[in-house]
Amino acid sequence: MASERRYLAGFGGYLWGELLPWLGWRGLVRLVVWTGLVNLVLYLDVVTDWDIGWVALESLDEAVDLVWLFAALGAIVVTVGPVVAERRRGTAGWVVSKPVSRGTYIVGKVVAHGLGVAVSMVFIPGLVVYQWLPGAEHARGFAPPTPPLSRYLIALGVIALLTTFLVALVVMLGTLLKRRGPVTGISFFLLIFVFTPPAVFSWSKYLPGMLINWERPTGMTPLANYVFGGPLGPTEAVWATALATVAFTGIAVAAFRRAEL
Amino acid sequence: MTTTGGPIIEVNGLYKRYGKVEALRGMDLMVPRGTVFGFLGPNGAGKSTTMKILMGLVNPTRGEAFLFGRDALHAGPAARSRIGYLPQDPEFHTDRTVREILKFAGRLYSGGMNPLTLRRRVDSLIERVGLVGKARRRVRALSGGERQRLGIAQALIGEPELLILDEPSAGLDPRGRREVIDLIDDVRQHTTVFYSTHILDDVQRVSDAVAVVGGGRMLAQGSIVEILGTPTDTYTAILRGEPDGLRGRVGNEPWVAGVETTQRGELEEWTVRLADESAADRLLPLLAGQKGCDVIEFHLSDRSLEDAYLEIVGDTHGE
Repeated sequence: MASERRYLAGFGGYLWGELLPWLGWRGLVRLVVWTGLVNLVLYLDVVTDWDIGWVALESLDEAVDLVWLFAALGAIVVTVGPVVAERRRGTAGWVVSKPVSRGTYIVGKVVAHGLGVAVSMVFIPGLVVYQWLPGAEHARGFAPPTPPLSRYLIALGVIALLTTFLVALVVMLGTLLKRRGPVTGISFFLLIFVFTPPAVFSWSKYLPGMLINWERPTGMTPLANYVFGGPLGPTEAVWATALATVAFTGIAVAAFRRAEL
Repeated sequence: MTTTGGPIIEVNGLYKRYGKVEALRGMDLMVPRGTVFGFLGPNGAGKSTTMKILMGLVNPTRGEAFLFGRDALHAGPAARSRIGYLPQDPEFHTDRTVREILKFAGRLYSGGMNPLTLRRRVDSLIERVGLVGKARRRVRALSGGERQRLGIAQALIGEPELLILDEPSAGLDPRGRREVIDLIDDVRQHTTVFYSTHILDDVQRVSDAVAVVGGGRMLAQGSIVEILGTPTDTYTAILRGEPDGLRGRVGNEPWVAGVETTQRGELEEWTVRLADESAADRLLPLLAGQKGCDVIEFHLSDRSLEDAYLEIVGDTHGE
């Protein structure tokens, strides 16, 4: 395909356009609905003591789980549509007929959706949880220590890294496969496989799932454990997740540069 | 705009194969700078493929293409910043409004426009393409013709030196078609326009030059006058009266190759093709010498672009 002299030509304008769906009224509605949904489910679980059936350990542990689970599902769903549909309908061809490099198109998608999911589906719902959860626990007669905000924010940051990993994965699959069904199916399969890793292999420490392990080797997810003062979990998993995110993006760029639109 | 400098588009021996289908089979093309250039041919002749290769959307199997004198296949965003492109059946983000699409397209041009300039440009284009009442409407709620108008507006947003329009009149009603032609006429002072269409009347009205392609190859290229040619062997006569037997007499002359007649109310239009052009001075006396028959008009036949096109394309089919 035509070579792109400037690898990220037109990035600023393109990123603005890709962030549009996350901004304005549509973005606000999505943010409110998402935040409300996550917090409502957690509220029902904690305050009414309604065990929603997944786990019922410490409330913060469950909050981390819920924020992560909803954001992971959201990251796949909101990314797969634009990536596959734009390619099939010809919108991608229209965009790269402008002074925009193909690298910009792919990197912009990962950055915009990664940012959108991080802000709208991780940080804001998570911070709302942080505001009311300790009070609700006290009202129920429990007195858990209030987790330090800095550690809580870092935990949310790790979740944002994991959701960005998923966004990059979906963008890569969408670029390679071009069909919504296989992309969604493979993404959900990998979500289950990569994020519920058997910790028995020597290489398991590199899997993103070690950061949010549902098997709870310490009785809580590694992230909840970290919020209350424990270690973050295998740092290898953090670096491996970041590297995999970059690698997926790179593969998508390479494939998209050869694509006929 | 003057036509100085080299060609703005040059294509030499371009081939493109999609599986077993050969879309282009040695396409050659030269679009002079500063012209309104019609790109004609039957469906599947290779027009859209040629345009897509120029825009870097599709790879040629072999051959070369130049934009602004530089290799189009390696031109990248810098060259595209000087081009406005309307694809065939343009597809935009369906959940965005007309205004959002145009602002988005404007922001993609390197160098960029400041927000106020961009806003004014968007407003002006919305008015120019007749979408004033639809500016806040989402793309998915637009009709086919309205999407086409939006497509034309987004192609103009970067004030391009070169407009490449793939069937800009498709899906438009007669008024919309007329507006597109007027718009092309408006921008020709500063912009070279390379466009494909099947509406030959429009081409004849607005274009300086045309290329006719078929079967993935160039069949003819030149100015409108060159393509139309000047027929010197065909005459049109408008007759009033009852020229019984006249058609037989004229048709039997050895210097006449053929006669066609068409009734137009009280008048009859004759198209006479001569086998010998030097016999033209014998035709009028023959017609005028008939009793009960008046010759109202007599002249060399005009040739429409459609006639020329059909003659050039002949039995050529698409890819």
